[in-house]
Amino acid sequence: MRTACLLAALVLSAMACRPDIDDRTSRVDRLRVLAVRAEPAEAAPGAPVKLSVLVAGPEGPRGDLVADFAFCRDRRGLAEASPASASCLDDTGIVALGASAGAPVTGTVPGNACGLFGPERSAGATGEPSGRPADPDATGGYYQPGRIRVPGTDLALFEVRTRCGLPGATLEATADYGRRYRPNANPALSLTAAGTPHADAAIVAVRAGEALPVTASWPACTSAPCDGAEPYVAFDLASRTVVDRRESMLVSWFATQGSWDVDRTGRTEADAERDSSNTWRAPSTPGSVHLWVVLRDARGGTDVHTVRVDVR
Amino acid sequence: MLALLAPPTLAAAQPRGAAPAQPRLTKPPKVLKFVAADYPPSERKPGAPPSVEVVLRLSISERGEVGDVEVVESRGPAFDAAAVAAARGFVFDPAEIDGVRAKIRILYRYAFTLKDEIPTTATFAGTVTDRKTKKALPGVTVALDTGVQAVTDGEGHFAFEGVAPGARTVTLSGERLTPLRTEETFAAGKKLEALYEIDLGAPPGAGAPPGDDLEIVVSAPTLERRAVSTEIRGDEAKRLPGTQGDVLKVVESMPGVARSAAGSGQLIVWGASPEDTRVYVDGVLVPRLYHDGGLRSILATELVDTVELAPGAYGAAYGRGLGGIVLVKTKRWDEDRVRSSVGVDLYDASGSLRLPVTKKLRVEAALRRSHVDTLLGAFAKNDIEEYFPTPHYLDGQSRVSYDLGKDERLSLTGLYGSDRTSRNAPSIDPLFSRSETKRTSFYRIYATYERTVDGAQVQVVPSFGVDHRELDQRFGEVPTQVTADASRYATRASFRSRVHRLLTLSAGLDAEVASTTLERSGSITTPAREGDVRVFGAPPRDRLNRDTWGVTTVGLAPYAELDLALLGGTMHVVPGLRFDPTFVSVSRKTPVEGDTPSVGAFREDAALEPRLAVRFDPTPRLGIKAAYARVRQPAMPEDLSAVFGNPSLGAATGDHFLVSVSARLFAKTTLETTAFGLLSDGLAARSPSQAPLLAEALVGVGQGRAYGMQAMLRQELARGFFGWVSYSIVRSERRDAPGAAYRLSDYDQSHVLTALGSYDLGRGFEVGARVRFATGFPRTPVVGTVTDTRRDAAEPLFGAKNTERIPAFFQVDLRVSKRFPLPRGELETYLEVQNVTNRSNPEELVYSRDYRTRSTLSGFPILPVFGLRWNL
Repeated sequence: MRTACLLAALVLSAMACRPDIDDRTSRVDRLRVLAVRAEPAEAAPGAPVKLSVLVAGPEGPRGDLVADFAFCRDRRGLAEASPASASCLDDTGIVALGASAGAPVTGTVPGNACGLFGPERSAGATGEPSGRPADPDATGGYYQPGRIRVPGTDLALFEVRTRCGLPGATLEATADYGRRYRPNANPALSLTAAGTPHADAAIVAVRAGEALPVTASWPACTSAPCDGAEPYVAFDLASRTVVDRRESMLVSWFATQGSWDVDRTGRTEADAERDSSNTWRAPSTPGSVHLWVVLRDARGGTDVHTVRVDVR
Repeated sequence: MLALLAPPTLAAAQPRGAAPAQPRLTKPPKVLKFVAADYPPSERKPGAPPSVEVVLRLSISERGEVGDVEVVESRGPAFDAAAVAAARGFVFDPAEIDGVRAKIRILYRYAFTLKDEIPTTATFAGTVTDRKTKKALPGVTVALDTGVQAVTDGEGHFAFEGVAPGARTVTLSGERLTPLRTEETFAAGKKLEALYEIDLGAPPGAGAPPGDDLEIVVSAPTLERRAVSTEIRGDEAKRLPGTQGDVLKVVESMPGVARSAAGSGQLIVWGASPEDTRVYVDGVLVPRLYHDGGLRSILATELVDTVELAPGAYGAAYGRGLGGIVLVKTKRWDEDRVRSSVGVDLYDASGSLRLPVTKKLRVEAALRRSHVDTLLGAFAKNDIEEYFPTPHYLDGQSRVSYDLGKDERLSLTGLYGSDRTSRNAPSIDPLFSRSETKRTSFYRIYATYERTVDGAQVQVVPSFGVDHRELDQRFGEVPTQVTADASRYATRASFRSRVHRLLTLSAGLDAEVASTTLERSGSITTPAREGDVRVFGAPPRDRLNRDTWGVTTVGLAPYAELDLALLGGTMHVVPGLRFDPTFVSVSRKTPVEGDTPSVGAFREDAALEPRLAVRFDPTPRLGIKAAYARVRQPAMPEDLSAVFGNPSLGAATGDHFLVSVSARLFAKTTLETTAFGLLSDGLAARSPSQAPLLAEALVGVGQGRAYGMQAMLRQELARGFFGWVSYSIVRSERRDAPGAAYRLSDYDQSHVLTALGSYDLGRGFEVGARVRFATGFPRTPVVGTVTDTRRDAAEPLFGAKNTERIPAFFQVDLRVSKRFPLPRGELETYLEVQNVTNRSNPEELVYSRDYRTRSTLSGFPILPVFGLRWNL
């Protein structure tokens, strides 16, 4: 990189050089919220969802810590720089869901979620036009945002995909979408370490400094709902028709010690492969190391796998 | 006085009886006493050469005394006599031949240098012609009220030297003329050129009514429309360091211009947003001054006559922009010989051709294409574009001009420019896989018709052009696409005439029609706009939308300005008025809703824009200026989307105020200091509401203010040197809603100091240097982090908006150039070394992906740029 930078600078006057910054996000060297899973992965307004959180620290999983869940009550303003509305971050605009240590918390998706965070336009005041609908994500979905407070960690935000209608679609497209769309289901993650399948919370032994190839895989999926990379339909804003798509998959790799070759891997929508591989290199000193693999589909579904490694 | 010692000639005899060996000069003579001679007063004429050399042959005795003095190369009796007289008084440390003091003859080059003096008088010259026949009128007596007079020669010319400054009565008389009087105002150190066209009456006896036999027409003096501006001649600008021979890059070094981020090519004037400053070439609006990356301007250097920057409070001829204006004037080429040039340097290759087809018809063309991308490909790894957006650019210009008559000219000009930058950074991490391609292009075709009628100057410039802009970006799974295509029709017509000896009128029409179709998809906050808090390199938000819309804007602005000369011409009051009705039609008032037909939006904004400039020169060396301008800027078509913006946005308004004092410290050294204030209202800003109304993502409630001072100490070309030191202190602030607290604008740059100069060493060598210091742009500090568990990404929490800055920038550039005469033409070479101190200049703040570590993105290290140009 440094060579490329210097070379480019010799050729180009207007280019700049990026400094080397430690960008590794896979190292769990402090208390962190690694994932939140909603069950079901997509819910209609007014429907219950079960929320569970994965908290990890340098010493391993921290299911003992109390996580306080809440849904945000306000949409983030267009001029707001924060990742959620200020009232959600400072707790003045939340719907408390409860707190739990290790156990899931159940909440109900607010009935007005599609108006606040979705395509339904809120009614304006008398004499005023209606409000601007929220924009969907790249899969055409809308989400009820929420936040989790866990002592000792950064504030964490989560989103529950919410079943809403379509923005500005024709009646025909709306009907087509309603007929063909299937709510998202959480994916199911399988893990293979050094060629051997391992169940969640398995224990693996490796030598100090040894490389451990790990493969995350998910089932084949030809029709939704299923626990792989699901096909789904989305409203295409360009053609304003309902189009067929398939979920992309993102795999996040974490470790308390040692290092992963890359922090995140995945498969794009166009890539039909059902697995993604990475290599973890054990530390040079013996000890117990915790690895986590988090699989996320493009529509907010999540699964988590934990591996304990005895480094000898 | 500079003296050059030429090789000595031996005058001593051979020592008797010595071997026939050649005597050897063991010690050359050395001047111990130099006698200075003044530049002869009789030779101190206008246009006198600044340096004259007389070559003498001096006979120097063994005691060092000067004996015979002969003139070898004469420069006229006055110079020769002065040089000989001075040389006779020289005393030398005698020469030694073979270690012994000896007589010697040497060639000595005695140099006279004309010292600049503060002028106290003016020069007045002109021509008297018959208005009908345009023939010169010899024998006309031109008299000043000081008592001096001159008679026109066979060409109708007359001239006066040493005219006392101030308003003077000029009388023209002759055999067939009834004496005529007019008035002219003279300024010290200035030359006033006048053209008097006279209607001769019928010959005596032909019945012409007495006293009604002539009419005098005086050409309108150039009206200074802009109260404060910086104008640089193209021939000077291209020699300055930092320009790499590109004239228009000198704008970056002008006072009031912020130092933009490396590679941005943005033009930030007095803290205004780049899109608020308009660039005109021969009065035709062009979309940009620089190619992407800022390496080059869009116009060939050979075509540029002058470039002028008016940061604010300009005259009524221009409008529709809240910021400054850049006026590029192309050269009027009158030579009857073919000229061409080819050039190449690190960035690009270029060529130009000027061809006189007939005496009246001329054709010009220029072309430039970048090859920096090819160089990168040859010397760097294939993945270099992962890190650096590589610019590809092309521009070309062509012109056909035809002289319709003595004072009438027509030309047709075409301008073209295109850019493409691409950047690909594939990553196995799906969240950080990036690609970006930007394409822009434009062309303009315009006709220029110029005519001088009865002393009035008329110019009409109709133009047509097309702009294309395209951004295709993907960051992870978040796409951003923006496409804009605009067709532009414009006409600029101006008329300027002296309607009274104290009054000059300038009037015209500035008409523009732009039809733009736009398509955009992606996050509403990408691309970012002024006031958006963001972190460099961070993924955009993954909430997406899409819109296509069309905008037609019609502006039809008649304007008029009067230049009223008062107090004997020492004061000029220039009131102006511009009426600028703007009609904006947007294809869609609300976002697409099923099959519902779209309903368009139409808006009309009409307002008077008063302008006023007052210039007062209490002494020939002191000038005071003050100016006010009200300006308006229609909403940008990009902001009129029903999804991403607001189709009902109106025009933003601005008020410019400035006061300026200029002092001529020496003959060619001026110091100009300007204080300014800019107020703007109705700026488009993101809706502050948490629940914005439909089609109101932007609202026109933003306000801005900028104020500060700038100073420029400028040395005009004298003794081979020219340059300037400029300093600007600016504070530019915005607030996004009325009543909100003001914050720093994204484009605030408190201090900008630029010192640059170029010195002609003679023999084709020139050296130059540029030193720049600039405060960094404001940024918003990251004060915390939250975890986005759906995307597995950290998100920053920000502190108060724009409350910290990128560290300051400092850079020194050097330039050396040499011109080599060739059998055909001239070869011009230059080496420009940028950042000679190899300072690591921060260009941007960057964060680790978890926002816990911060560093800076640095600009380029020491960079030599070598270039060649062959001028034929």
